[in-house]
Amino acid sequence: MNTVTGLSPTNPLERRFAALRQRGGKALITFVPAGDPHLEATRDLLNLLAHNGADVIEIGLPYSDPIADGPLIQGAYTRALSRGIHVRDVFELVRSWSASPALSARRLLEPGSIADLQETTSQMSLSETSEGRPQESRGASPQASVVTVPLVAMASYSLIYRQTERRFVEQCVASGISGVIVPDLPAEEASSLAALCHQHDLALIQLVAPTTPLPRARDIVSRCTGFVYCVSVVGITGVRDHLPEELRQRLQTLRTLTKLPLCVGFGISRPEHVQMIKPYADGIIVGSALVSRLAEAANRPWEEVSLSIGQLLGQLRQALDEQPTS
Amino acid sequence: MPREIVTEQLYHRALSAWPDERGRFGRFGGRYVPETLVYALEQLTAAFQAARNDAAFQRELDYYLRTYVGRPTPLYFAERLTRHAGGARIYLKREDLNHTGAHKINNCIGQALLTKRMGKQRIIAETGAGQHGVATATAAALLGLPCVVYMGEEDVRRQRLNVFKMRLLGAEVVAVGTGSRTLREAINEALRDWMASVETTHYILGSVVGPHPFPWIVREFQSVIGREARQQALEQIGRLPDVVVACVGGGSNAAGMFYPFLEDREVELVGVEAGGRGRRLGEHAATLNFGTPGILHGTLSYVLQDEEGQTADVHSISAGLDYPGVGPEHSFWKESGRVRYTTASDEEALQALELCCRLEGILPALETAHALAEALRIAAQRSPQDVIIVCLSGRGDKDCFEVARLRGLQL
Repeated sequence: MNTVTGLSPTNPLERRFAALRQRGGKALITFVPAGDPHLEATRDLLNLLAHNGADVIEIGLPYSDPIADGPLIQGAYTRALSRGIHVRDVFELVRSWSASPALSARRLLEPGSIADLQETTSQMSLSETSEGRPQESRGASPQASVVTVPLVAMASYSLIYRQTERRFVEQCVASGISGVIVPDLPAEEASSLAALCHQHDLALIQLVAPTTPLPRARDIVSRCTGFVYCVSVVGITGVRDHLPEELRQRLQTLRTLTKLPLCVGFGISRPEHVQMIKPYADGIIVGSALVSRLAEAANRPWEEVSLSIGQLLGQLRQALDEQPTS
Repeated sequence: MPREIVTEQLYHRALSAWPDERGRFGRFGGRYVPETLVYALEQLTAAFQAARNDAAFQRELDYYLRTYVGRPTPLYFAERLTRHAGGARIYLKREDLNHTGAHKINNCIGQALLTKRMGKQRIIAETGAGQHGVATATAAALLGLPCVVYMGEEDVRRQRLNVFKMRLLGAEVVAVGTGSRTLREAINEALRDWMASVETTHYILGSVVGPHPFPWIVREFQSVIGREARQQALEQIGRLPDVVVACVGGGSNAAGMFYPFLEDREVELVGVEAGGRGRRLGEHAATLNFGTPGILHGTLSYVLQDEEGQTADVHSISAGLDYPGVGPEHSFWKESGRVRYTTASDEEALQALELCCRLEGILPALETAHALAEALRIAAQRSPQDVIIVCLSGRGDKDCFEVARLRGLQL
């Protein structure tokens, strides 16, 4: 398909990336582990991210043995599972959230709720909106212009296999999800899922690692839709001090292989990381940095936690949107 | 028509001719891992393929197996156990007499030599009972490679003797406190280490589980057990056995024992899983008996999991069988009907361990005792003309504290 993402022009992921490309913007992709510390917090968090500059939200389905993830994300999943949260509950949450964005927006603006604490950041995102950031207004609520943020499900293949690929894809579509990432399903094992995703206009976002040889990377990006998830470092997810210099080189090479948006994840936690990556990529993916703040919810009031997440997002958003000074 | 014949027609391939180039055993196996590991697994596949066909590598492996491990291990006629069961003749394939006291070393020497061949400078491993950890630490010491072993906290407690041994051997033992704090979590941690260190480190997986090529490599290195046993049966008894029995956790000793007998259709193959203390999920570790096909640790195989695909908690008195997955080749053998998989309970295993001590002067590992319990049951129903070979996969010194605790004694 002749679109930015290889998806149909109406897929929310396509609309978002097409709009970004048109104005030369960079995507801020955020990761939320569903159900940590509880499902209502996840709902708040979806609102918070949607209103603080996230272009895409990845929602992680809790899994007992996530081998690609570091201790932070595993911890979040373990907490969610130990609270008895099921995958079907997560789909239900996502379905109700994406079906009623106006409602979620109103929630945020209720006085005395977390909205007060995020006022500053909300205003920031609204002002960006007025500069022409993509938005879709569903107009149900007069006080909020609602930004539809595409959701991407991140799921271990164990969960998908158990309920069958078809049912998983159908559930994603029914819940308003625009794409899926299956971090433990390499391209050669993914052909049947890829066909189903294609059939339902769902992105199957593939990962390219630093250890991926060039011919293999070419093959992977040719099967990928949505965006290419470029793994920044060899290793698992987690917060890092430095990002490798080879990353720049690798992104330039990948750029010659595909027109799909290139988004970089694993270890992105600071504005300096964003500065380094920005010239060579179409977006960044923030996971563990956000999850580590979420993990503090056990010992801190939720309002403080959401404030600190809002601040992190604000910093990264700013770093992404800044024009080079030279 | 026997089910295994149907399977062979379905796939146009003999049972012993697996895995295919995609790492499949029928529909099982494969490679469900993060992209970061795919290249290393491809490299490993190529290195193993080349080593397998390299006479020099085979000579080196044989040399260490003979002079260092102590192979071939004897096939021993257990006369008093036979008399006790009152039926078929019971023979024990004495893997407990290997250096380090279990079959695990067969695979570790092989993979450590492979590590050198690939030019990698560091070894990591996971361990449940500690036998694979000790065997890996031993092979690492032998070849002068640094070694890190991941072990669940619960297993560190149950198997502290092996923890001490590994440290003596110069290995670093990392106690894993997340999740189930057992073998399953140790594998998760080892895989995570490997994700970050794959360019310089080889992961010596200890069982026929995990992504391709591990189930294949481990089976190949462990098949020395079955090749010897088959040859010894022909020489000592004058014919093939009627039944071959082995315990199955991940299934490495069973895979190595069964594989050379696969095409001897008259030989009955029996795998024994940990029946634990009941049939409900969480009370046992009998994956093939009670599980369903699913994905765990990079492979498609039978798994004990809930209806959404979350891995279930498992239980066994034996740390080495306390695993919610099983090797994909076993799933294939189960579906083909070639191997029968049954269970022995905690208590049956304990009794078999005590019986084997008193009647034969052999202290078997708790894992092995599960196979013995089933072998005694089968023997009792068969004629004295029949021959049963049990893979006596390891010795039970490591289990003394646990057995004493279960019997209410203090050591």
